[in-house]
Amino acid sequence: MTLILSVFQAVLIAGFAPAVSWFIKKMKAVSQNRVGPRFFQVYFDLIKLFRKGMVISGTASWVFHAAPYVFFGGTIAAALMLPVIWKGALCGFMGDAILFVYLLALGRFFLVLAALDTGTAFGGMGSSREMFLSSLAEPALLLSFFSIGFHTKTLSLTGMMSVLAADSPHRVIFFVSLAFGAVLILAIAESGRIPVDNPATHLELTMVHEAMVLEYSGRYLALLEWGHQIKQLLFLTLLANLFFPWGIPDTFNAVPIVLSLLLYAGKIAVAAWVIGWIEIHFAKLRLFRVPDFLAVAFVLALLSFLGQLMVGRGA
Amino acid sequence: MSSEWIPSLVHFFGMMLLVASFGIIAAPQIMASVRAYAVHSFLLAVITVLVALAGHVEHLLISAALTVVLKTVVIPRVFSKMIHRLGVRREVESYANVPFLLLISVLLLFVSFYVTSGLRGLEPVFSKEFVSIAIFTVFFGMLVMISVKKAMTQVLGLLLIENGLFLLGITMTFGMPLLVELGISFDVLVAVFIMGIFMLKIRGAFEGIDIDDLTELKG
Amino acid sequence: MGKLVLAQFLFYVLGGLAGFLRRKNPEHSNRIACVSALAAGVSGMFYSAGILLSGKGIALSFRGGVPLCGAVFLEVDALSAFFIFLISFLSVPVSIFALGYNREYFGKKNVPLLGLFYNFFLLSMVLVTMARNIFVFLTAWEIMSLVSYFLVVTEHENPKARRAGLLYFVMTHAGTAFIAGAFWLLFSASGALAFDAFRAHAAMLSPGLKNVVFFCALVGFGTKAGMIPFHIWLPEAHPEAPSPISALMSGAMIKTAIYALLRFIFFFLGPVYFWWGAVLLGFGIFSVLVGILYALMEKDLKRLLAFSSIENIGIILLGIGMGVVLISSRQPIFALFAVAAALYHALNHAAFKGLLFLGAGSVLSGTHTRNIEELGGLIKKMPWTAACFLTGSAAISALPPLNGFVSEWMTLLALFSGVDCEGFGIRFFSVVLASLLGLAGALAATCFVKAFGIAFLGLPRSPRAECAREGSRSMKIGMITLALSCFGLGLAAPVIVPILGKLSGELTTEISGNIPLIHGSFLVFPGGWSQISLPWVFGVMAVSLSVIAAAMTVFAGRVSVKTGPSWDCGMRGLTPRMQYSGTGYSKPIRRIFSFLYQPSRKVEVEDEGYSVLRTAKHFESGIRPLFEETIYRPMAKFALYFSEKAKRIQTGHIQIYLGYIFVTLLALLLFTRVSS
Repeated sequence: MTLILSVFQAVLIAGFAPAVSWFIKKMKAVSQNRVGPRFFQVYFDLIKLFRKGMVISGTASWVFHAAPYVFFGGTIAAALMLPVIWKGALCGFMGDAILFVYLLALGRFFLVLAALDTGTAFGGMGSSREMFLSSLAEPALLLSFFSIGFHTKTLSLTGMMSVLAADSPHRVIFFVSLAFGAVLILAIAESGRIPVDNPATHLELTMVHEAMVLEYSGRYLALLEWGHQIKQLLFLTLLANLFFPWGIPDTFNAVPIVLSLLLYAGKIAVAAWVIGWIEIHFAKLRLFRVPDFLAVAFVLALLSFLGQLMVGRGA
Repeated sequence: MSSEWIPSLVHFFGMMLLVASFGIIAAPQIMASVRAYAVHSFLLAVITVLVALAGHVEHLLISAALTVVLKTVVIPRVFSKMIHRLGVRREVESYANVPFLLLISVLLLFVSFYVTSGLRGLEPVFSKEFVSIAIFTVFFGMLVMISVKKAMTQVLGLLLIENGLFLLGITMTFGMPLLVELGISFDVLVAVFIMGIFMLKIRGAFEGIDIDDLTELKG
Repeated sequence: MGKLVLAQFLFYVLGGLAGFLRRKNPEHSNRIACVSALAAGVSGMFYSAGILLSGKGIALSFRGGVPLCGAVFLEVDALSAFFIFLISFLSVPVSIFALGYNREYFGKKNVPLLGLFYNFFLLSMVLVTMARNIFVFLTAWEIMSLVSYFLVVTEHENPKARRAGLLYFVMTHAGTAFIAGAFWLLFSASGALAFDAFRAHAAMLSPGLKNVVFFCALVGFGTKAGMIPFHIWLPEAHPEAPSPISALMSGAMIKTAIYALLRFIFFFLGPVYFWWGAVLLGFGIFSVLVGILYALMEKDLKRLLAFSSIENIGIILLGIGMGVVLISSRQPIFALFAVAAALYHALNHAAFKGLLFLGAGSVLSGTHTRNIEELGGLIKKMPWTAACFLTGSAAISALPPLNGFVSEWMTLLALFSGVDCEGFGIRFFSVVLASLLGLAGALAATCFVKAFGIAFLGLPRSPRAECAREGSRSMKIGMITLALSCFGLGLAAPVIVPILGKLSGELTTEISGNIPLIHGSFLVFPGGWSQISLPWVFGVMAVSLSVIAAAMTVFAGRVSVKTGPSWDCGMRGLTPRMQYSGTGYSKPIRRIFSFLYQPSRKVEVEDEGYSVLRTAKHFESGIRPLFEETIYRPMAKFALYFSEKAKRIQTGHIQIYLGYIFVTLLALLLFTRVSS
């Protein structure tokens, strides 16, 4: 039974991810007095891309072909480690938060290589910027996990969530509130949102993610876009489930599971709303201001840890 | 409120106080720095209230109210007036970049905690981490004064030091006598006004409030 | 077992000398040298693995003994066996690679001599780890330094190689002076030359003496290991050597310094002090960050790899340093884990850095340039080299499921385990160090994306890259062996880690009981915070990938794939000059870490009367070598100044010199009389 539930979780993350993108797009459209896409449009887009033929650059090598699979596979493997609507995950046992970070790094590694593979200036630009930003974001993410792990005395994602859920809410708020801020900033950075990257632009001055996938088309593009959406949902799920871990059942029972599913949808909607709100109200930062932004995440995570040290663990 | 909540809340606001002080350095514009200072003072007032409730020291409530009125309303107003008069709305200019300053501040926090945790005979009446937070706030105010170029932000640094001392007062001894508190508050207000006038004069002389210009004064 | 040891020695000595028999035929002579090194490597792997598994060391005793050395002066215990395994394991694929690579030197160089040096280099490294006596150790150490110096200046017609060789020679001897000093102090305290005596005497050393010995050993071996700021020879010397030698120097030689450091800290100096660990951690994190940041700025492929070796030595030092800190904070089990992480990283680094240097060698022999700005598009011309180099890059960037990830994970957790210690300082800095290691890991990924992406992907940037050709079969086999071992060392972690745990337990604790480091296929952190299983990760990724691929073909069917040109913004085709260059790729990093690099740029602009139609005629950018300019240049200046002063006592009159000798003699005699 738990197996079915775990598999369902994975399917849920993969299936729900485009909807989150839709939500933010729609929110942005409404704020600009546009109608915005229909709900199913995001899914139709993906399906269409999966069916379309591909044009591959003549310069590209096998790295270009492998990258979408590795990127998607790495993201899915990371998704399988995350508890979503119950306290377990299909592959939560296979590693810890460090593995989660490095699985995402694996996908990124191949994606940036593929961007260099076609020999265009756009690809190089996107690749260089992505690595620049991620090499600052990655230590901050690790530090956030360490800071939470210091409180929970475990680094496994499922373990962290269970410990936090068993704790009383006011202690969770105190101990991890700053880490929450850090992860929020990182969620924005990792999913390529304003103010770090503009997902709606095709202007070379501002592109990061879009510049990397510029040469992709058809099926590969679908895999990359979908993978990117899943990655975005992963970070939102981290925000929702690590920092608001209540109401998630640990055994299989129909009613709590359905309730938890609704709760999850609600939490993700709120998180997506926050991301969308920031996207509407802020301008994209200059590339060399982004390190300042990421430094804030790093410092928040460090403060969260230092605060726990000052008060004493478990006080 | 249950007794279990108060310590957690106090810890929480302590953390937020730190974040607000970091905000003063991380803020992109001077006005945002001023707002961060207002938030800092507001949180200080909240902590004062919590201390007053926990220790049943009613006169602290008056201090808290004074803090709110003076430091979160009046002083930021004065600042925004001054910013408009002087026409400085650009980015906060400092001698080092923001991430570096932030990391230095974290180290300062570490140092202030390390220093206070070794002190013997230190018997705060309230949560012990506030001693180090207060010391940190003083250090941090000095850091702000050392690192930024604009005279405006230097005043903020001075005000931060004052906030730190206030915090130290309420955590070590449930605050100073009300009369002293009142005196200090009005001193601060007067100081801000004087500095405002001073800055106007500096600008009149140098057409800018960049403190580097003062180096021209030496013989 | 003992026979295998002797067999290894014989293979090295005879194989090195036998090459001269076929002096006229370099092909044969090279083959003899490489095959004997290969055979020696295989026998070395066998006996060292046997010792590691059984835990029983062997001592080689010689009847009658040797003057000053006693009967037993060579011994293989578990620690030696681990490093012998490392050296032998790396020497096997490198020897295969050298079979093909050395063809470069046929007719240009003295091939039998190269073979002799090659074999003696390996032999001296093995001897260093076996030596049980000051004399044997220092002799082997000197032979290792000398032979590697000769190998560095193989291409002595190139002034850069000569200069690098000289720098290496000077630095390594300065280091050896410190090592000799450390040994002399130990000798004068214990009155013996044998290592066993040092160990027995360890508890009786005075704290001051221990500190001085530690300092000398750290500087001496740190110089050999390439620890910053004693590293300046490493990025000069490693790239100039022939590539198989670079692989051995980076993969194995600098590890002998780690070996010696471990022996000093844990065997000769007895109970460790907290501050040693703190110093090691400081040097470690400094080497990690500065090493990788300089590597990022390199456009010379082999120099880039050399700088990255500094980073990896830093990671190893972090493991050891944390081990020392944890021992003195009474956390022996975590200390065991930390030192095991360091050992594992040493082994892994041998595998992937060896692989990367071999790949760079293959690129060098295929294109005759090391400058990545002239490369590009090699993946089409050299597919095997590219695949192997990519594997090495992924491994060194600590990506799962390769071996680099396992040791990085272990080191991260070892650092993080500091939060369970007493003391505010350790707890805070252990987490800061862990996150800085994460930063270095991410920067390493950037660095190797740049190295692989600029050199192998895109369009060829020069005719050299266009005319590249794949290396010979033996070169491919050498690289593929190492690439497979990068996978193997990662997936076999549950087998390797208990062995390393046992070894590290001997070093760090007296606990001989079983500390559970694995559970099934899982690596378990002894604090119980986390576990990891790379076979599972590998399996999950493989399954999810095949599910995706299958689902796509089932649900969406096959789609047409056309080949077209890359998007050229509507201009007429892309030229290789439009691609990002390596320097451009790392520009953002250069900018935010400008306080370290202090970059300079020079643009000479020429306009044709219109300021809008500017054509930059000349562009130059560079970074300032901080350590050379701030530490070594003043030192060299001081030395020159001092020599200038010392010149005054050189008059040229023989009577004055005789007078010096006489006065010195008198002074010495008086000194001995007064002091006794």
